[in-house]
Amino acid sequence: MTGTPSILQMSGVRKGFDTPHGPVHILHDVNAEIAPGDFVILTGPSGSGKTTFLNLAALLSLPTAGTVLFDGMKTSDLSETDLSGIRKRAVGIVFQNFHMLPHRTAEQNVFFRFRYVDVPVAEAREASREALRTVGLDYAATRKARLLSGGEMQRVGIARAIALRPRLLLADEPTGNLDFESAQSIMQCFRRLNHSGITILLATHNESLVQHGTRHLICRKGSIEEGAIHASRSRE
Amino acid sequence: MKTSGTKAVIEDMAEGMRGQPGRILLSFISILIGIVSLTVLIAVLSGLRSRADLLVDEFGANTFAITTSTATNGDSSKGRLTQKIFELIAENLPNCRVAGVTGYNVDILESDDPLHLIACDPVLPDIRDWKIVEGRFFDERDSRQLERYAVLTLSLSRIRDWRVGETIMLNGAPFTVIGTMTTGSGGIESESGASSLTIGPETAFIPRSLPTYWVPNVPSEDRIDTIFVRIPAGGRSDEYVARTERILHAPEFAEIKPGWITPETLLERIRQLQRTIRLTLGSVAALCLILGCTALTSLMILNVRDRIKEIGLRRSLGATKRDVALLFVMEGGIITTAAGVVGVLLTTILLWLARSRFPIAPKFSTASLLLPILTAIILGALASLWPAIEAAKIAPSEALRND
Repeated sequence: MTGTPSILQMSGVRKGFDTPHGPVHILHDVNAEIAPGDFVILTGPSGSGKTTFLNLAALLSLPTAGTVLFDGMKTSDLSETDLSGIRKRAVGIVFQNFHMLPHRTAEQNVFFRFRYVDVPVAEAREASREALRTVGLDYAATRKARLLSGGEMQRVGIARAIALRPRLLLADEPTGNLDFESAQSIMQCFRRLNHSGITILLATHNESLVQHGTRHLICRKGSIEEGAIHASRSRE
Repeated sequence: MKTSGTKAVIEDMAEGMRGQPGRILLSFISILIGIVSLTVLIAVLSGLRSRADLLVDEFGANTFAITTSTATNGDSSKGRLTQKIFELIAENLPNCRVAGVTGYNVDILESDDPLHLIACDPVLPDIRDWKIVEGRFFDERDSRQLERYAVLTLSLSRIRDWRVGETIMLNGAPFTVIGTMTTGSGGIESESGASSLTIGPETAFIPRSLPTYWVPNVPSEDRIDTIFVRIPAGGRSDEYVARTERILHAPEFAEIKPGWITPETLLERIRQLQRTIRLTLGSVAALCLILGCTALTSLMILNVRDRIKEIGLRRSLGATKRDVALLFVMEGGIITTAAGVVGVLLTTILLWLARSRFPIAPKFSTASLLLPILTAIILGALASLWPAIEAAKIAPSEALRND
């Protein structure tokens, strides 16, 4: 962790859901902090609470108890409009299932990042092209999303997430649906983005991806622990 | 141009509608049929309303008429209105203008078809608000002096080429044409159902005081088919009708079964027609629109279910609940608005093409064109409201979890 102010800080966070069979507690007393420039790999088995942790970080849900601070703002004190406003500008999300708009081109999918942001079209279009260039997919800009390979779709997903230069880039199992080579390529892409200054929180159940990050958090039965980075790349 | 502008909204609409063309078409057609029915209903009712306005305008709100069933140039005087009744009415309603009318068919030299002749009192044009085009109508003096004067409808004058000052032969009797006039649309006569009142395009008017020995098959000089009464401005017609009824209740007139023609009775047939059309066509329109709305609501529910991931994506990109709800309301609104516009255009064209087949022409106004479209927009928004609210309620985290 660095000494700079955190982008995300969780203290005593609990998250549960009401189900027909009674309440289910997913996260228990979670304390975690993500500083600018971090590339945090969050690992843990399926059902351990990784996605719930990511949703809290993405301001897509609020904690049942405890405090989540995003850039120093307590998320549970923010209105729906404020939360949407932060999501618009400061958070980028990459999904395991890509969530493409299949009938639109790769560039239009990236451009969709600006749908709820008042940006001049020309500026947004240029930013979309730049994002596609960053992920090395400028050659497929005019191709319909449904015609792209899984790896290409995920790179479009990353381009969409970074097109507005978010403060925090979240990725939920981004390589979960990809073969080994595509997964490696995607992870390289994340590393380049992190080098360019984007803070990343990436959740995966694949322990081998830990080496790509600068920090390792382990999610186990609803708790978060700091893990070790075994590979060469840590705090380069 | 901004990224959240109109183009983005249109692209969103297209995105949503691409998925279910069959269901969209079904909703569209159901709403379309409803809008067509609604537009026809409004146009026909507008036509009837115009007709009603015209009738009241022509007949006059302060006029009523007493008539008995007749067959021209025949029948006995039994049970009929007579000169005595006319005089009694005129005497008892001193503030009113009263005119008696008797209709005949007479032969003319130039044609095999008989000419319709109206024998009337000089005040009839005033009572009916008929307009003199050329010359004049006969007056009381002409009437008293038994002048053989005739006034023609403008059509008759043109068709027969009979001019003012000319002498014409009616069943062999010479008459001098002293004027021509217009007599309205003839709507009152047709709506009242009284054949004696029929003023066809070829009608001539002569003083009622003239003896009718020259007219064939006239059993009684005393016969009157219709008595028109114009009450003073500001008077209540029901009071005057009641007073006239009391006169006719005298035992000596027991055989007379008078028919009353008032603005109310004239409008009754039109109102009945309006009620029937409103009920039948209105039911069809309402059922189609309900069916369309139900189809649209189910379409939108399926649409929401199929697009949960997209909803999650939009929420993750910063869309608020309101943005998501608005998306679905607008999609529903677009479908119904399109159906509304197409329905109104289609109906206007079809009714215009078939206008000659309607006994009372449908009438179009800005309101009759805008109302169905407005109805379509409102119904679209209402039908999609519930699915839209459900869509907005979906938690983004749950939406993104969906596989």
